[in-house]
Amino acid sequence: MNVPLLKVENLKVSFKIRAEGDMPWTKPRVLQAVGGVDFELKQGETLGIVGESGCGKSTLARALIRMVDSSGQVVWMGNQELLGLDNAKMMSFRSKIQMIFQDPLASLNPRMTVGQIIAEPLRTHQQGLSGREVKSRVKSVMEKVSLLPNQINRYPHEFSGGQCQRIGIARALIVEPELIICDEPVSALDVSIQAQVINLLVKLQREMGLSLIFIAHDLSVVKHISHRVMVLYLGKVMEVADRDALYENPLHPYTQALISAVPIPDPRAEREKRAIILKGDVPSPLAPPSGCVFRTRCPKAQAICAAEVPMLEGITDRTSHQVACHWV
Amino acid sequence: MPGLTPKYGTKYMLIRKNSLQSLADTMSEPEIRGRSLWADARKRFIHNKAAVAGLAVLILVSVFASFGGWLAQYPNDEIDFMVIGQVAELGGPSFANGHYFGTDDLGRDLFARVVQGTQISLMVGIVGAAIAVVAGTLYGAIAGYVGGQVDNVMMRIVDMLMAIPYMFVIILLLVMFGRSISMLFVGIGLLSWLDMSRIVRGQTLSLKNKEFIEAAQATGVSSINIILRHILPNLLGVVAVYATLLVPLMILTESFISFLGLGVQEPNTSWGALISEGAGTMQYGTLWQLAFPLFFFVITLFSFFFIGDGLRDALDPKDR
Ligand code: SF4
Repeated sequence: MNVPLLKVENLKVSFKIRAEGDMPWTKPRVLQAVGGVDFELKQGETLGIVGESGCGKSTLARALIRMVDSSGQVVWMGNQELLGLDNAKMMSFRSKIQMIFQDPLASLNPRMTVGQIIAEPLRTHQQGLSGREVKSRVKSVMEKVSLLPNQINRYPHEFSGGQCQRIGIARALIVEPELIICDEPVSALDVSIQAQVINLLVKLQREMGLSLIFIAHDLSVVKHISHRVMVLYLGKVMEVADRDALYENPLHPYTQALISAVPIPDPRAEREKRAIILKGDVPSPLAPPSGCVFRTRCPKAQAICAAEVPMLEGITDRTSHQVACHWV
Repeated sequence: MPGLTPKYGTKYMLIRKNSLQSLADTMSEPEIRGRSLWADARKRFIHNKAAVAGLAVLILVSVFASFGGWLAQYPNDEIDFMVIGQVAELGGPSFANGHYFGTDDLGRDLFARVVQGTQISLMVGIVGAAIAVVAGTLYGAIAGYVGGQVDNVMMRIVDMLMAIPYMFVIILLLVMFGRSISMLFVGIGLLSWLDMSRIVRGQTLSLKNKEFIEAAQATGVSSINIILRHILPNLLGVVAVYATLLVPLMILTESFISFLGLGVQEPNTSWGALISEGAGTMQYGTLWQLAFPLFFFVITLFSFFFIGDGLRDALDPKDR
C-alpha cells in the first residue's frame, strides 16, 4: 500500500490570453495558472487544497481530469501516466476519478430529472446495463447520500442547495470511483448545511475507502476533513503538511496569516490572538513577482526573496512537512 | 435505555417507533412525479390571456384550412358563369348562391380560394420555420459547442450567406427554375436558418460554461451526447419562441413574393396572391375580395406574435 494513488509531478498549466482587439499577429500574454505543483495522494486519504480565489486551485483540479491542457506528470497507482493518454484510454479513468462542483444547482441540468442526472455517468461508462438495473443503482446511491429514493423523478429546482449537492455527490458515487475531486463543494452553502455535507463526505470516505481532493478557500473548512493540507498561492505550493502539523505549527508566513484569520471558538482567546493582516491584494498572475511569489505581501520579506525562488523542501526533522520559504 | 425511567422509556420508544414508521412510509411511497420546467412554463402560458386567445384563433384558422373545403359549394378553380361580367353587382358575399365570401374577379368562389390560400400560406410558414429550426439549431449548436476555429469558419459562412440579398435570390430561383411551391420552400428554407443559427450559437456559448456541461465532460460523456442531452433541451425555449415568430415572417415573405406575382401558380393561390388580386380590383367596388384574405392574414399573424410573446414570458429564465 505504499504506492500512492496519485502522484503529481511538476504540473503546470498556462493559458494564452488575448486582449480584446489584439491583432492576430501580436503575441498572446501567458498566464501561468499553475506553476509546477508536486504532491502525492495515498489511497483513502484526503488532501485539502487551500488558497485564495485565483490561486489556481480549481485549474489544478481541472488539469488532473484533463479538462484543461497541462504539462508535467500525473501518475495513477505508480504505473499509469494520465496526461499523455489518448481520449479513449482516458475514458476508464474518467469513471475512477469523479468530480463535485462548487455551485450545486448550476452543476445539475435543469431539464433532467434527478434520476437521469445521477444515472448519466453510469450510462456513459457501463452502457450494457438495463433500465431496471440503472434505476435500482440510482436508488441505492440516493439512499447512501440520504436522499429519499422516491424523489427520483423530481427536478433539481425542487431541491434545496444542500440536497442538490447530495445529488451531485450521488452522481459522482454511482460509478464507484476511487478518487473524488471536490471543487469548493460547500462554499455556496449555508454554514449548517456545510457541516452536513462534509460529514457525509467523511462518512462515505470511510465506508467506501475513497480518496478525496478537497478544495476550499479557507483553512477552517478543510480542517475537519483533510489528512494532509496543501496551501497554494499564485499557482505555487507554499506549504504542504499533515493536518495537525500544519495547524499547530505553520511554518510559512502565508499559512501563518491564513491560520491567524480563522476565528477561534473561545471568545477570550479570540480577543487575545494577534491576527496577521496581509497588506495589499494578490498580484496579477499575468505578472507574478520575481523570486518568491508571496514577497509583495510577506511581512518577513528580505532582499533574497526577490532574487531567488525558494524551493519546496522538507524541514529537517520531518520530510512530510514541506515549505517553500527562504527563512524556514 | 438504561438512563431512562420506564415511563419515559416507553414513551421514547413509542415516539421512535412512530417516527420510524413515518420514515418507512415516506420511503415506500410511490415515486413522486416531478414538476419540470416545462410544466411550470405551461402553467404560466395558460395564465397569459393574449397568448391563449392567439392559440385559440390559430386553432380556428387551422380548422378552417383543413375542413373549410367541405363547406365550400364550389371548387376553387370553377368559374361561375352566372356572375361573370357582373362581379361587382352579383359576386358579393351571399348565402343564397353559396358564395359565402363572394367571388373573385373571374367569378371563382372566394371561400374555396381563401381556404386553399390559407392551406398554402400556413404550410409555407410552418415548413419554412421547421427547416430553419432544424438546420439552424444543429448548425448553431455545433458551431457554439465545438468553438475555436470550427466556430469561426462556420459563422463566417453564415455571414457570407447573409450578405446575399435574400429576396433577390428567391426571385432569381423562381424565375430560373419556374414557379412552384417546392422551389419556394427551397428558397425560403435555404436562407431562413441563418438568423436561427446565430441565435442558437450565442445561447450555446453561454450554456457551454455552465457547470453541468463541465460535469458531463468530466465524466466523459461524448460531445454528441452533450449536445443532444444537455445543450438542445436547454435551447428549446429560445428556439420555440423564435420559431413562433419565424412562422409569420415566412408567411410574410411568401405573401410578398406572391404579391409580386412570383409565388404559387394558378389555380393554386395563397394569402399574398389573394390580397394582391383583391387590392388590384379595390377600385371597382369589390372590397370583399381584399377584406376576406386580409382578415385571415392579419389575425393569423397577430396570433403568432401573441403566442410568441406568451412563450417568451413563460419560458423566461428570470422568473425561475
Ligand atoms: S521566501 Fe521570503 S517572501 Fe517568500 S515567504 Fe519566505 S520570507 Fe516571505
